[in-house]
Amino acid sequence: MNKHEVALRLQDVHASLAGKEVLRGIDISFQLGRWTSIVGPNGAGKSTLLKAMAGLTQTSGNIFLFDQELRMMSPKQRAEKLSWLGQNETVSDDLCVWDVVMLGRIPHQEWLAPPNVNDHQVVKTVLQATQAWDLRKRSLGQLSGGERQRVLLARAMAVRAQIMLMDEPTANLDPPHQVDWLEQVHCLTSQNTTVISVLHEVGMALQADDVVVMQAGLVVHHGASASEQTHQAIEAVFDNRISIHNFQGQFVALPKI
Amino acid sequence: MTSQFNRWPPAFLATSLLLLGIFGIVLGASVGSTGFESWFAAFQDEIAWQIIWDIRLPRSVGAFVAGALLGLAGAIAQGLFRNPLADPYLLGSASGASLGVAFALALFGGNPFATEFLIRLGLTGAAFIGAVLAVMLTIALAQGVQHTLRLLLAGVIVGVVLGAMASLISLLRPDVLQGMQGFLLGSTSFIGWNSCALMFGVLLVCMGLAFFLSRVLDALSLGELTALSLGMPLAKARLVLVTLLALATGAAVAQTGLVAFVGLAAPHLVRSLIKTKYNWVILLSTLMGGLLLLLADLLARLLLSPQELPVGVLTAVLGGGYLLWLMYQS
Repeated sequence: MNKHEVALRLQDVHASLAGKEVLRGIDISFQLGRWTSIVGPNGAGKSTLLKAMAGLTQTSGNIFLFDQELRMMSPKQRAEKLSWLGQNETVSDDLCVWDVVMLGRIPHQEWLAPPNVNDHQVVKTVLQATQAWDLRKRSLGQLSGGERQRVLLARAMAVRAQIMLMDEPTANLDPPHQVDWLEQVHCLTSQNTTVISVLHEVGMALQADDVVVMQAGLVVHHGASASEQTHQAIEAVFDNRISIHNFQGQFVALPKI
Repeated sequence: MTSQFNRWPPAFLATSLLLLGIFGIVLGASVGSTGFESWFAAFQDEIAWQIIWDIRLPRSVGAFVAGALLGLAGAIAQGLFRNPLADPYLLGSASGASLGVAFALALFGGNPFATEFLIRLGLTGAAFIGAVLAVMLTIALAQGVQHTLRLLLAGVIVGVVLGAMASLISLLRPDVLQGMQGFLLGSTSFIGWNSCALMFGVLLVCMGLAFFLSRVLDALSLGELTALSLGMPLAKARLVLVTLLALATGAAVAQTGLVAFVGLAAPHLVRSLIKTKYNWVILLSTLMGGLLLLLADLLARLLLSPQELPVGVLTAVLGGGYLLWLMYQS
């Protein structure tokens, strides 16, 4: 497959929340098999952009998923190709971890069909990848915030979609599990999955291949995470209150005091 | 392969509940002012046979089916509104049914303990129509079923306003007061075979459709947006589920009056026994609701025998006690 194929493309996308325009004309495209982080100050429209790309909010303009228009696709078609992990979704405490992750297989199942061997295999694999295999018999109510986040991550990965959209996926994760998450994302992109994540932590966001910088409903910069311009754009949207440094080949964001 | 990690497999629980239900129905047919002897006499004595076949059996079966409808409605409501405190009456059907009954009583001037068939039928019909109209009013006020919070609020408003109107009627016509109270407390005394058949038909249809949509309820437990992202047809499913909720509740309320807590407690009890997906929760809550109302009905007939308590009083006390216990547990 061509590495430069476009997985997701947005043309002049607008969206409003409660009468206020939150996305004010977004033109952007995401390449297949790359990891892109979206950063920006609070209220910049990052989560709304992610929802718009998942077809979960009303938008005007065009969104193309592999050259097919998103709103022309059936919900099932879309769900097979695109997996979305939200932030602060209230999840019922009653289901057990195994069942929760199995729900990620819904897009691939016939309406009343029980899970097949492949579904079971996928659920097992993603549970092991997120270090949640030992939790599989517990109900969500019995888990800590970080454990729960890993299970929800496994649920999103169980879709095995070509595009994964994740809103604050590392929230509640302790440092070792954040590193695990990074490894899983690298593993996903190496299998040609396109990963797009909203991340608050700038240091984490700079681990991605590319960074999209947003401010006030607009994309102000889209570039490689290693580039100097990207760093300047990030510093600028955060009022130059942070500075980005190269530390042994990785980038860190430090507060300017 | 779901719920392979539970203490009891769901099929085992379902079978147990069903067997307990059948046992309860047989027991229910043995309890009454003429006692257990009616069974022995039933084959010789025509009156004894009538007591069992025409009074006790339909009453017990009816209690089970009405409870089952409420349990099913409770499971649907809690799944649809993603709220463990949701109960079948929350879209206004209870106060709608009360208003319907208040109207009918004021018109007929009778009370629900009157045995004339036409009056009974009139009251049942009025309660059902009242319940369904109230839900439709709630939906209209909420401008559709897609906004669940708005739907809940509209349900509260409709409940309060229609309840006040029913009270106003009984204030203006004090002769309907006793009849109204009887209805509000709930009773299984007057269920005949026709009512049983009607409720059972509604139950089968509602269960079938709810079962068909159980996957949507499962996905909804991850959140509305996540359910949408999984490709669930949320808009259509909501419409069908709200209709089922109104239909099941209306059918039960019309025959038994406002039986408290069964619809709320049944899914809770199921979930405290087992963590499983909605296809099982729906079936198990239905059976559990049936069993609860059947047991409450038995107790209502036994406690002060040969007098009997309105069954709603018992479900309120038992259900309230259970919820209180649950509250201190967590």
